[in-house]
Amino acid sequence: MRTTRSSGAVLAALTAVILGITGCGGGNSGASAPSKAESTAAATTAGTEGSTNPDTSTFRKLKVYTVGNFPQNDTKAVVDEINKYLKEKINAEIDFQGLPWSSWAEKMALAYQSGEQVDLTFAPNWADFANNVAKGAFLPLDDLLAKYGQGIKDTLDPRFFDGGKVDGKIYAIPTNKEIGESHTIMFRKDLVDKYGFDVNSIETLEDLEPWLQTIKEKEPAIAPIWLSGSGSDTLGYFDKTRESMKENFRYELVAGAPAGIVLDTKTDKMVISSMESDTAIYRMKLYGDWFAKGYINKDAATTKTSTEDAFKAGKTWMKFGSDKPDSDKEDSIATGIELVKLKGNEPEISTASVSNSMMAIGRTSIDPERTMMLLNLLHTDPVLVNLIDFGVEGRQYVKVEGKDNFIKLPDGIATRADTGWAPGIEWMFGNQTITYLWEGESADKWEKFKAYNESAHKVKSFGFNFNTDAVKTQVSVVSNIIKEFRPLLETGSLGVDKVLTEYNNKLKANGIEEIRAEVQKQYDAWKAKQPK
Amino acid sequence: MTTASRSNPYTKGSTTAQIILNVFFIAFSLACILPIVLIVAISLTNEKALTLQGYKFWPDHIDASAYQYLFKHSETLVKAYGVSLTVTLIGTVLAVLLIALYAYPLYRKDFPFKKTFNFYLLITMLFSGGLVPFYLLYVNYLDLKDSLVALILPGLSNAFYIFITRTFFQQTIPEEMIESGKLDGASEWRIFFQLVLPISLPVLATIGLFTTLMYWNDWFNSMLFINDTNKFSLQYVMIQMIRQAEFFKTQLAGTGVALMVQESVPTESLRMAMVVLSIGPILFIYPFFQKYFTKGLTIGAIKG
Repeated sequence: MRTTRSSGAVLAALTAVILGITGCGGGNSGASAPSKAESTAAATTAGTEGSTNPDTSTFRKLKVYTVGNFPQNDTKAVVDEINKYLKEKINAEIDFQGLPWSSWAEKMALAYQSGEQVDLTFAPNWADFANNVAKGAFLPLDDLLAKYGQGIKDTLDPRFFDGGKVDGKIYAIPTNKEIGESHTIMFRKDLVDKYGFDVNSIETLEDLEPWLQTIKEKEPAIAPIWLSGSGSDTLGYFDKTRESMKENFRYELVAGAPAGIVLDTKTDKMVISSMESDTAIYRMKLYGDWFAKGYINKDAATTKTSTEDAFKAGKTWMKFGSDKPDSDKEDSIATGIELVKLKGNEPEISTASVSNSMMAIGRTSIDPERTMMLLNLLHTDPVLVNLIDFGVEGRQYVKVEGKDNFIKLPDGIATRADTGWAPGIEWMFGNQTITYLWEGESADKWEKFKAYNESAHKVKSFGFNFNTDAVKTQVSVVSNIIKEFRPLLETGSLGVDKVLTEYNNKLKANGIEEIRAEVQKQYDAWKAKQPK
Repeated sequence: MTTASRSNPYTKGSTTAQIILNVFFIAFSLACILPIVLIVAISLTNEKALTLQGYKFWPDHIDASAYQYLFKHSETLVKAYGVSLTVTLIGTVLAVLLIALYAYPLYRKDFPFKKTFNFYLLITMLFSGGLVPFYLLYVNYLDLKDSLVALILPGLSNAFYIFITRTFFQQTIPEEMIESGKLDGASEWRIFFQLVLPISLPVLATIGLFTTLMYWNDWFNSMLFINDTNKFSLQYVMIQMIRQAEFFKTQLAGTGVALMVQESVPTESLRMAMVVLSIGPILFIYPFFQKYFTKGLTIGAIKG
């Protein structure tokens, strides 16, 4: 009996231990882990300062994290091919962590906090970048860039580097792509041709009115303009109205501030757009007018069908898009419907546009030098970038005969998704301007890109980023009000005047003035620090 | 349930009350059933028709292309099914056993550390280490990344279920039974497995059903620990498809990046077909547990 009892006790104790582990998730183990990570980080930085020559004698396996349409069926084959190439070049291979959009943000947050090995990681400004830098998730890159990133310095437009800077230090390297943003509206080419429209004749939104009238009369099944209440489908993408052109885009959005507050570039004052910006109020009234005339789909404020989806389903003839070179061709390939686009506004370089796609090196990288070499290759080596973007020749694409730089899908394959490698990450890795072109794109696409980038101008508040900490509560309430009213204001449904009054009263009642004062204060402080 | 000898209980009470009750429960059942019917309907509708005409309970044309697509790419699904079934089966059996093993000593009056273990359990209910330590433990200390164990371990015990089980033991298992077992010379283990557990089937079934559902529906742990596509569970595959669309709408809206991302969001009908395929097995489990629930109620009643 004694033996049974004692073995029972042991088992009971064991059970308790197991249950303890599973039941409460080991609350006491967290304390030691960060220190462990810090010590490795300290060790690596100490190691970097001693070396000057690139030493690639030790083989490394670098963990590269990115996000896209993953998982892809043929990932293994593509990564094997990449690794063969990299082994020759820098004696390293990559452990490629392609994460799906749906779980990427959470997974990365955990990877940074838990001290896992992160060598190269996609770190755009819209994914908590500033916060991650503050927490020390990324290594400062200035020295590494000077030593191993010469190729990046040679090829990347210097204006880009501001994107990855925090307090004067570089923490991430932006992708070499379009430097500024500009938006446009695209139309179905067949209908544009049918009614003899000329896209070059459109200067402002108002110029579209005859087109809309024609479509409304002659194509009853089609909405001349399709908007959806989600707030991301807005005519504001094509921000050229007579009013805004007159003042030459006097108002600018402010990075980090709620959308209701804009900078008046003439006076350097922050204004509340729905109360004080004639341009914004005029635009909303125009929408209201168009809605009343039946140019906009009746259920615009409530529908869940995005413009993109409505376009694909044949319910409308327009969609929104970026105005970067060849964007109409890219979108034609993507949607399978031939498109023409209007000339959008001049590309603007904003804090967001130079930092919306960047790569950073993790604090826990096993070999920051080698990772920088890899990043350098990504910016300079077409073979590598093409492998990552398009997959393996003969498997995912074939070269177009007689044209060295053009590729097309292999025979019998309808879309890129069927090739087993179409993660859609061309705009994330290194240098987009050294990659292949798809059949049908302009041969001088990348020259156009260069010209486009050169024509881009910086917004006045470039580099300024509003920190919401002081007015957190107000910002969250106001953001919700904006979210609630945006579908109504941006689609013109219901009476504009009535909605606008109600909206403004709500904003006033919930601290928009306090936010404005805070933005102004920070902006003035930031401006005072800028070199004149 | 045999009701032949008794008068039919359903005809008692006023007719008005009967009608009201019946109408209420018919409406309630419909509220539960119709969404499922709609899901099935959507999964059988052509995507274009969905955009043009919206949702319908009876699609004009039955279009099984979503299912065809899923069967064409059935490899992923079959694997995911395998993962989900494995994790659910192993997890449920182990969890029920562990929960009962913990609860039983807490019920025994002659167990000296009862207070300590009760208190210990309570603490885990009130405080948790949070996500990061939990993640660290599994990834750095137990090294369970990409392992099915990481999907099974987190659900193996639940303080709340342990308390339920303990209370059930207290209410239904007479002390005398344990005593007589001892007198007959049975060991502690034998008493537990051959006397206590067979009587406790109702509670075990209840806990079993809860944990089955928990394991079957769990995608969060997959998201945390699994990167290898061969080890994705069914729910995780599904949640990815569904959240993909949401992510584009929320996180990327207004960043300017939204226009750069080439969405490959699965169509509505495809997502719903996925849902239909994953509801299947769990629906068949309910009837199997049903008999224990009714028994559970009667046992409680007899004890009085």
